[in-house]
Amino acid sequence: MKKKVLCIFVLIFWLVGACTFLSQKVEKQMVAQVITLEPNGGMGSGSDTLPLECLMMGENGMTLYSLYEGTGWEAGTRVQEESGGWQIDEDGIKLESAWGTYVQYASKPLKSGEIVEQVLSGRPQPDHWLAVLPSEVELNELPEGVEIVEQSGSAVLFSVEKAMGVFMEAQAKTLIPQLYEAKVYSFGAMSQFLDNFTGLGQLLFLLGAALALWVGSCLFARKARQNRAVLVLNLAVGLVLLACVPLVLQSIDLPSSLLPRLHITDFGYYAQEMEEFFGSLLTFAPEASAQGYLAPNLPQSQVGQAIIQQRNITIARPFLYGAGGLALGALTALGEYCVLKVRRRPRIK
Amino acid sequence: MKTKSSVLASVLAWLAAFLSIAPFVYVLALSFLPASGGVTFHYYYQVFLGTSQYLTRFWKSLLICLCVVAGQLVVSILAGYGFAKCQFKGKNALLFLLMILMVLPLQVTLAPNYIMLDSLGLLDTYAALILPSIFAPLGTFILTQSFKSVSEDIVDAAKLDGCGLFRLLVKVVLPMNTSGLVCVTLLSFLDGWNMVEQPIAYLKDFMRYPISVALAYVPPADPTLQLVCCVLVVLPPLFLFTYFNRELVEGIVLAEMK
Repeated sequence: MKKKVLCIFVLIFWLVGACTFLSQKVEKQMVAQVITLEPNGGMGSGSDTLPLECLMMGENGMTLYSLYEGTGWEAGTRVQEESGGWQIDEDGIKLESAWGTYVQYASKPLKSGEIVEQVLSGRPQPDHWLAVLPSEVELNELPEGVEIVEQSGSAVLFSVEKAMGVFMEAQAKTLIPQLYEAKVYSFGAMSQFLDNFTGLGQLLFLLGAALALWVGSCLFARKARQNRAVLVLNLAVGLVLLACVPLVLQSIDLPSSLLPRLHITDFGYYAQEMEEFFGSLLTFAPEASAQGYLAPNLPQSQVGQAIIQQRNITIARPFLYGAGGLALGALTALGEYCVLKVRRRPRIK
Repeated sequence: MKTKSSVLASVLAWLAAFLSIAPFVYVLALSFLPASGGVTFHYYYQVFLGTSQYLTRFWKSLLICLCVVAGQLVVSILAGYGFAKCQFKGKNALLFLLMILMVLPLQVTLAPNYIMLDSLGLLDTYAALILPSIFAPLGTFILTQSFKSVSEDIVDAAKLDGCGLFRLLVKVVLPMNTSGLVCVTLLSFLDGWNMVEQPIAYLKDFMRYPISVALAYVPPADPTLQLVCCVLVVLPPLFLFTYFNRELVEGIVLAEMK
């Protein structure tokens, strides 16, 4: 009974420990990044007007979000819906009171009470944006520094000379108003997302190795007195694996714009986003008949080809690393078993 | 007749067991069933992955408890051995005082402790929770009773063989009283894990509150979140009780028999 209880609770506490490190990372990652505005530049006297892009789709339709400091369990900078005290006129959003800090852009849709991180626009850098359009749109007048690289019926690939450091879809739509109804992706964000597959794979490796070692230890625990040394060794290895979790997590930095609204573990959302992104990229590929039927189905732009190649290289890593971890853990347990078997073999003097 | 009474006894025992376990099963079941209906893991995600607040607080509380247990074991072993095996003036009076302290409600000692901790400058620190708990009298009482079961002959024989006090305790007395030690460990751990009044009285900063107190402040918008926190909170005591249940029962029985 004691052995079983110990085995089960060792795994539970290992998982709770790993979850502690993971939750710290998830908490940071899931925080929506926002660019804020203070009416009157923060001087706060009299009424003022905010630009229309401060209006966002909230739970109850279009709404204005302001920041507040939470307390207790809800400590930190959070957003709340401004239910009154503002109205829309031709200049923008007219505020009755000029106090407060308001959200102008957010990296993802906001929810009242949600914790947020204020960011600056960052240093502009070149990027490519992929817009997936519900219907064909005239794109004649583009702002300075924005060019169309490739275009098909439902998707447009833009080259942007000076994109913001943190990609925010609403900010992109403000820059190119014709994309109001489109879904806009940043190549920088997608590339960053794919880069993290190695780190995610390493995490799965640690989990797989720990699980396999745990199963091995449970089997060794049947004869706990004889296998004490191996059990202690496995416990030490398990602790080392646990200590590696925060080290691996340091290397992971997922782009906020590609994360789901509620759960970071919403794998269906990621699959859908990637399918839409890469599916739209493939619409730029020339007809198979035009380039030979055996040629790969790739867009013509180099940046499009590069990101598809990056996806092909990284997509399987989490599965491979996870399986590798399981295999390594199982092999270690098997090795320990063999060593014990050889050592206990009766010897003839 | 004997069969009837044994059947009745076992039915009553099962009923009592069911009534004891029912709240936990209820909490566990409802933690998957939100008020909105259906089955969901959303709240488990919230507590175990969504935010680190619950788990970091859980580990902090565990650390506080381990300090309390370690401190109380040291104090209880030394004091218990003194009361059980050493002869000194006023021993019985001190033991009587200890028993009076044991029956005093916690709320009575809260204010004096607060004043002492304030004068020591320990308010709003974890030491304010750990130090008073280390000197709780129950552990000393249990170990005093437990150490009394060790025969004087064994102690004398060990002394004749050249055992000093420390060696005598570690090599002879403690191995003979494992159930008493486990009992003190469990009870002091539970004392530390379930403390509510002390953190509220001695700590001002909410971020320092152990999980036993912070649980009451979990956003009450959806009670399912609180139930999942309850499941998290029950893990360490559940482990200790399932692992040490035999020793616990033996330890309590031993203390009662004395």
